[in-house]
Amino acid sequence: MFIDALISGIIFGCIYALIASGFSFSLGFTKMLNLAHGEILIFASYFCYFLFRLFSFDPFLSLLIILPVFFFVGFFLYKILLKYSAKSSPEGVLLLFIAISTILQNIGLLLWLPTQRSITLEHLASPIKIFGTSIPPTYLIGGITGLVVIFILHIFLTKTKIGIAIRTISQDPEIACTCGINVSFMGQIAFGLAFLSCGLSGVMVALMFTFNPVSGINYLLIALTVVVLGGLGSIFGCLVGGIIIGIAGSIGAYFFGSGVHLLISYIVFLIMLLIKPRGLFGRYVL
Amino acid sequence: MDGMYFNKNKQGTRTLTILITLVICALLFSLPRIVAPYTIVLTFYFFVYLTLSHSWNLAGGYCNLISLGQGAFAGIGAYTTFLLYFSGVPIELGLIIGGGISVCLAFLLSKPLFRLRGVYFTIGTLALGEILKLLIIRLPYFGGSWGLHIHSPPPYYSTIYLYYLSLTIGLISCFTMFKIVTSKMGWALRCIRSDEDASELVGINTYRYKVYAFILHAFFTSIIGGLLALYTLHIEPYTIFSVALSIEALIITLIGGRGTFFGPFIGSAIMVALSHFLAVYYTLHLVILGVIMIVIIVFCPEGLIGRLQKRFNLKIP
Repeated sequence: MFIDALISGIIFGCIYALIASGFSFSLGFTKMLNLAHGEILIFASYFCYFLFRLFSFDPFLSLLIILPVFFFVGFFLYKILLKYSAKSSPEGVLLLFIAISTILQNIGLLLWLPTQRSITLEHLASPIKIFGTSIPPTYLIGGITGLVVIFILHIFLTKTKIGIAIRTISQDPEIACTCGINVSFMGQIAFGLAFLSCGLSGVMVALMFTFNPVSGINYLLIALTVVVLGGLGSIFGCLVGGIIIGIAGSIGAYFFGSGVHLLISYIVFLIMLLIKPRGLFGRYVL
Repeated sequence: MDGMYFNKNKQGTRTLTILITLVICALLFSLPRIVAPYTIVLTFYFFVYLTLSHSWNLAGGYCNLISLGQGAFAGIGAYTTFLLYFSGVPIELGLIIGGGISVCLAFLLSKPLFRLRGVYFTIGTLALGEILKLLIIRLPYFGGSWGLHIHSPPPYYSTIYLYYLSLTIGLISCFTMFKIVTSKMGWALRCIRSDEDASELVGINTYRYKVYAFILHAFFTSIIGGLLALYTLHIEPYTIFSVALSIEALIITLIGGRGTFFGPFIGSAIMVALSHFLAVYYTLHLVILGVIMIVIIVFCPEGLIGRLQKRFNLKIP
């Protein structure tokens, strides 16, 4: 019933927040509009999938490999990107990310073909009930992971020294430099963390949904929607934006059928972009 | 302004250029009699990519409207052509009407979209194709996610017919683009690209020129969408509305040179050649094109034509 739509909307909202957190982090704190977000996420899904299929690695255990790998990929990629973006326009960086996403997507198609893949874990297959609503356990795990990730990122940004330094470099790199903060190193850490969270959401996507090399665009658009709604540079905005989209989507699906879930979120995205590009909790525009 | 690239004092050069163009056109029109059918298909794709990238170039190269929403207009063109063909309207008219509908949509969208600048404009257009796709696969009238199929093509339908269609469209688009980029509007668009606020300050109506560029881009993209769907006689909503179309146009334009008239020619030739030679390897040509694109962005952002201009101090439009 209606309460079902609400509960599944909230859980979907937390999943959306998880998907968007890496994107929001890289856009908010390093000013990199990572248009390859979806493809990187799907690569994490495939990483997890093949560890599971070939070596029968438990997906949760494979996080121990995937997360460090993704962190260091982001860590070193940022160094290259920074060297380039210093001498070019913002469009140059945007086009670079488009090129990266094209390459990744087509490598994916080349290696793995457009077959739909998914991971099914037997002990997580039977749905569980929350207030009478049947929810697949993987969705619940995804939602809880989303909440935990948002919470950890928030604590990290407000309580730790590195987190505060990252916030400083996003607000004013020159002042941060005079305060003795290593701007490029902090940027590298922030970008690495964004990739780490992207890898985490990729593993969760592999557990929850079916995926193929071209489905990355959906996750990119979800992340864009959530970030535009919640506002840039606000981690809690990410959660609120995700939950709003999740509830709007599942209530829409309750009235018009299941296909409108994404449609509603994209329309919300366009409207929000047009009337309030700053977002609900955003501190600044791009 | 017409004599910007061809100095009016050198009337001979101008006559020579026109002569060469006419010879090339004559050659292209008699091509089906000379070469094998497969080469005709490749040339068809060359003109498709050429028109696609020229239209992207007008908005994203000359002006700073980097659009990833070409899929939306291509889809409108394809669906209009097919639906009108089912009710007895000839294909050519259907293509033009599809273009007209795209122009109307682009005009309506331009007002809200142009409130977004730079990168925000790009992510705004990114959602257009996806929204239209999700709408159309839910409507049974448009064939749902199965798409539309022409079971009985018109009697004159053949590869050669499609080739002539693409040739005509390609030549019209080349002529239009050349007229535009060598006119006052071309200068205005280049001004907007280098600095929008400053060009507004010197009295250029930036909004109007951006609308013109966006509308023309939508028109030609829509016609190309119809043509691509006619080649397979089938519309697949997941392909026609995808971002891939814009990305291909973008890669072609960047390789040739952003904001140059001859850039798309070189880019399309490279695209068609690579996809021909690497046809066995599925999508490998796109991977290679992506790598070339990164090299171009990092090492010569002005593209191949721009590099030639600089190196030999030529004035290639």
